[in-house]
Amino acid sequence: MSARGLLAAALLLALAPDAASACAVCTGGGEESRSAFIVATVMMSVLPLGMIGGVVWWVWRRTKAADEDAQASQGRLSNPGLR
Amino acid sequence: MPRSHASLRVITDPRPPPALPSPVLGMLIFVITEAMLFAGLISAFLIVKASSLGAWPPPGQPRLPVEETAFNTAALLLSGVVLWRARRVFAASRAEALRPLGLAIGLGAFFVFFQGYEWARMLGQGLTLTSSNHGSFFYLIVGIHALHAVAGLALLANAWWRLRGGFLSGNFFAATQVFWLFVVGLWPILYVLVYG
Repeated sequence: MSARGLLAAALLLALAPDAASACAVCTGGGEESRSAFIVATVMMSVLPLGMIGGVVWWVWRRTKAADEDAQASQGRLSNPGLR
Repeated sequence: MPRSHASLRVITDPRPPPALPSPVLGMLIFVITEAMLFAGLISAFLIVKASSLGAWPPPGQPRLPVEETAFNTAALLLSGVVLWRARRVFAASRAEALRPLGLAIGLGAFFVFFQGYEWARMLGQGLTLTSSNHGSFFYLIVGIHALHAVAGLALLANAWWRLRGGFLSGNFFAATQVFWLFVVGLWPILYVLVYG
């Protein structure tokens, strides 16, 4: 299919969002089912970002604390009178 | 190079220790992948439950043992707390950590055996993998968690054996603790979702 054909198909789907979002497992279609899809989508999107972000933040915090400790001990070594 | 010089070079190594030991980082990455596995299962369960026509659990299926499993949940949570305590004791005096670590293993083993007993009862009452979507998700989600609990117990038992022999490293213990706390922390979520 040409690029123009693809663009036209995408525009047609945008005009009919219900048909575009239909899928083989959407058997219920009620409000509860819709909410479950939203909850599942949010969970699957946010969870990996949150977990990886948490690990990165933890490593950053530990690195910062180690740097501060190293600077403090360096200061004590260069200035033995201070404790 | 003389031996004394080699020793001196190790002691005065200017490199700072890693912010996060490799075993702990590796275990954290593994736990993240496992958390995504459970997130996928939970998503599928929520959607199938919400899309089911009629009541959930489906009529004719046995009731899940909510109260008994609440007691079992308490045992697992206590196991996590005791392991946390064991890690703190380990940092102060290694030999004294043997008892709390053994207690954490005992509580975890109780959880797994009690779950097995409940499963046998549920099977006897007609809830099987193929009896309904309810049964399929129950055994799949709870079963995969039980597999993780067994793997965690094997790790803890290995840590206990190493501690008893006097060669348990702090990093190994920390990585083991990360995995077990994942198993413990995940269970209340599964309990509320599947049994609730």
